[in-house]
Amino acid sequence: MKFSVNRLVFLDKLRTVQLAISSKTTIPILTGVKIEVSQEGIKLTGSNADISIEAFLETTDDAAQLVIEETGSLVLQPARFFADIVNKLPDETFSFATQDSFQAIIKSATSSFKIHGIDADNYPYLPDMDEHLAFKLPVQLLKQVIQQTVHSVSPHETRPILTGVKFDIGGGKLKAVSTDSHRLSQRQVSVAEIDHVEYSVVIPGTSLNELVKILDDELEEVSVIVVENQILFMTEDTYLYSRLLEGNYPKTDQLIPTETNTQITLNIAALRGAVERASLLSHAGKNNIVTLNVAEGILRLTGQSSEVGSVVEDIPYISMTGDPIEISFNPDYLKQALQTFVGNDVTIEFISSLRPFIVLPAAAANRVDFVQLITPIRTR
Amino acid sequence: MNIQSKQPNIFRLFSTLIKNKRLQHAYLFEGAPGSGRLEVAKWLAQAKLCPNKDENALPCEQCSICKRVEAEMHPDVWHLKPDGLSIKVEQVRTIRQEFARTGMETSEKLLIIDPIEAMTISGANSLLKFLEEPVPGVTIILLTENEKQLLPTIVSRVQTIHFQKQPDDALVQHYIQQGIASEKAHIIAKLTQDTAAAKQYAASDEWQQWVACAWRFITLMLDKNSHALLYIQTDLKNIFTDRSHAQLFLRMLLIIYEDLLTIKYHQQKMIAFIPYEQQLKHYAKHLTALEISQHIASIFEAEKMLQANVAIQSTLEKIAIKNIKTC
Repeated sequence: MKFSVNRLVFLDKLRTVQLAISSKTTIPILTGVKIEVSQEGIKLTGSNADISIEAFLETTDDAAQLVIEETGSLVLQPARFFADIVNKLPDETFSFATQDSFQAIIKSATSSFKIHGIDADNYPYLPDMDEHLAFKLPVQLLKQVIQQTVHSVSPHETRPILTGVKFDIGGGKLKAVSTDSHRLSQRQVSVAEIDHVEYSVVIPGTSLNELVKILDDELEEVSVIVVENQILFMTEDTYLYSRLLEGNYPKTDQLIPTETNTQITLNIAALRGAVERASLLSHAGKNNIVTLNVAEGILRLTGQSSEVGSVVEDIPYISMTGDPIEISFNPDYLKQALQTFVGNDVTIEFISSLRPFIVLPAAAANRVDFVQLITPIRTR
Repeated sequence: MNIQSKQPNIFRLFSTLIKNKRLQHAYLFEGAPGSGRLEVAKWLAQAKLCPNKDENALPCEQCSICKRVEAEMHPDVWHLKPDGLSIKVEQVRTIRQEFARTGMETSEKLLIIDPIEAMTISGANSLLKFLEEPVPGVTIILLTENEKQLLPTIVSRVQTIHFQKQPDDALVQHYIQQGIASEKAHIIAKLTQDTAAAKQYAASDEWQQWVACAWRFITLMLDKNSHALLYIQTDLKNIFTDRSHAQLFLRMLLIIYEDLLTIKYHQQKMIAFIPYEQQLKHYAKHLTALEISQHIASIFEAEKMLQANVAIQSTLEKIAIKNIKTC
C-alpha cells in the first residue's frame, strides 16, 4: 500500500471515523483505525462495535491531492496516536507506505515515522448492504426528529430496549418514539420518499447522538439501509453503521391521553425561564420536584429546598381554560422537553394531578404528530 | 492435540448436533483446565459463524472468520474472563448491554464465560435471566472446573457436558514424548492437562523450587515439627510473587497427600513424587487415614481462604498450625 495525500483533508476524514473509536472496547483491534486503499481512493473505518463509521476519500477529489501508487490495507492502533502524528506533520502533504510485517512508513518533508500496524484481515467485517434496499430521508428532518426524541431514552440498562428510539418507517411516514418510563417523546412526520418500505427498528440513543454529529447541515438527503442486524446511514463520503436493539418495544400509543381537563397556552421562553429558576432550588433539595398551580387565573410554579429556601414564579400565559389543578413533576424533564420545540408557544394539557400531562406545539392539529409526555410525581 | 483426538466423544456429540441444527442455547462445560473446554467452545463458535462450512456443516477453521474466532478477535464472540480475581459487575453490565444489541457482523452471537465460578453471586444471578429466556441467536457457554461449586439455579438451566480427564499414564507418556523429564512429567500430569502449560512448568526454575519447598513443608508438618512455622517465615513467604503460584503450591501439597493414600492402600496406581517414594512409604506406615484426611481438609480450607483474598503467609501458617497440633 502506498499513497500520498493532503494532510488536512486526510485528517478531517480521520477525525470523522474517530468519533466511533473508543479506548474501551471488547476486542483490542477496535481501538485502531482501518485504512483501505483501492484504485478509487482511501476508505477509513473506525468502530466501537456498537457504531462503525466509514469515511471515503476519492482520487477525484482535487483538494485531497490524492495519489495512489499501490493498493492494500492495514490497521493502525491506537487511532488517536495516528491522528496526533498526522496532525503534527510538517508539510502540507504526507506519504504513507507499508513495509513487510505490517509496518507503516509515514513521511512528510523532513520527518519520517515508522509505525507498527496489524493485519487488516483481523478487523471485524461490516455487513454487506444491498444498495437497492436504500431509501432516502431529508437530513434536516431526520436530525430534527432525532433531537426531538433522543433526550427521553433511558440511561439505565435495566430495560435495555428503552435505551433506544423506536422508528417506524413506512407508508409515507416516519414515526419516532422514545420513553424511559417516566416521560415519552413522539414525533411523526410525512416523508413522500418512504412510501414503499416498511421497517420497525429500535436504534440505540448513543448511535443517534453520533449520527447527528456527522450529518452535515448542508446535505440534502441521507440514504438509509436496514438489514437484520444493522442500520446504515449513507452520505456521499461517510457511512455510519449502527447495531440495533433487540426485544419488544412497549406499545406506547395508548399512553398518550386523548382527553384533557385543563389547557394552558403560553410562551416557551417565559415558561423555560421560570422552570430553570425554580429548578435551581429543586436541585439543591433531596427531591428534584417543582409544583405547578393553576387556579383563579394565576399560573404559579413553586420550588423549594428545605436547606436553602423556596421560589415562587408567576408565569404569564396566553390562554387558560378548564379546571384548577396542582401538579408536581421533575423540572428537568420539562426543561428538556421545551428545548425540542421550534415555535414561540406551546400548549400544555392536564387531566389530573396524578395523570401524565402533555406538551404540544401551540394550535397543534392532533396529539400524535409531536408530543412530549411527562408523568407527575405524587406528593403528600 | 486437537479436540477430535482429545475429546472424541464430545467431538462426535457436537458434530451430530451441529449437523442436525440441534444446538442448545446454553451449555456448561465441566472439566479440568487443558481438557479442551475452550477449544470446543471456540470450535462451536466457528461452526455458528463460518461461511464455508463443509457438507456436515462443520467449520473450515481456515477462513478469516474462523481464524479471528480462534484468536479471540471476533466482535460477536465475547470472552468474559476474570479481571483480577473475579468477574466484575462492570463486565457483567457490558455483557448485558451486548445481549440487548444485534450482532455486529451477523445476528449470531456467542458468550463464553471462563470460568463461571469467577462470577460473583449477584453477577451470576443477573445472568439467570438470559439463561432462562434465551435471546434469539445467542449461545452461552459456561466453563467450570467443578459443577458442584455453582449455583443450582444456573446448573438447572443449562446442559452440562463433562470433559473427561485423560488417564494419568497416557498423559505422562504424552508429556515424556514432548520432552519433559519423567520425574517431572509425573507431577505435572496431576497439575495440568494442557501441554503448553506443562512445558512451561517443566522449563521453569521457580516451579522446581516449589516442588522442593512443598516436599520440605510437608515433611516438617508430618514430623510434627514446629519448624514448619519458621520455614514459612524464612523461605515460603518469599517465593510466591503471585496468588496463582500459591494455589499451585497447595495443589502440589494435595498431590503429596494423594500419593500417601495411594501407597497406604497398596493401590497399583503410580505415585507422582517418585524420587521420594521411600520416605512416602515410611510416612504412610505411621499415619492413619484419619490424620491424612485431616491434613487434606486443612488444604481445602486454605484454598478457600486464598480465594477470599487472605494473605498467602497467613493461609500457610494456618495449615501448619492445624496440622502440627493434631497429634
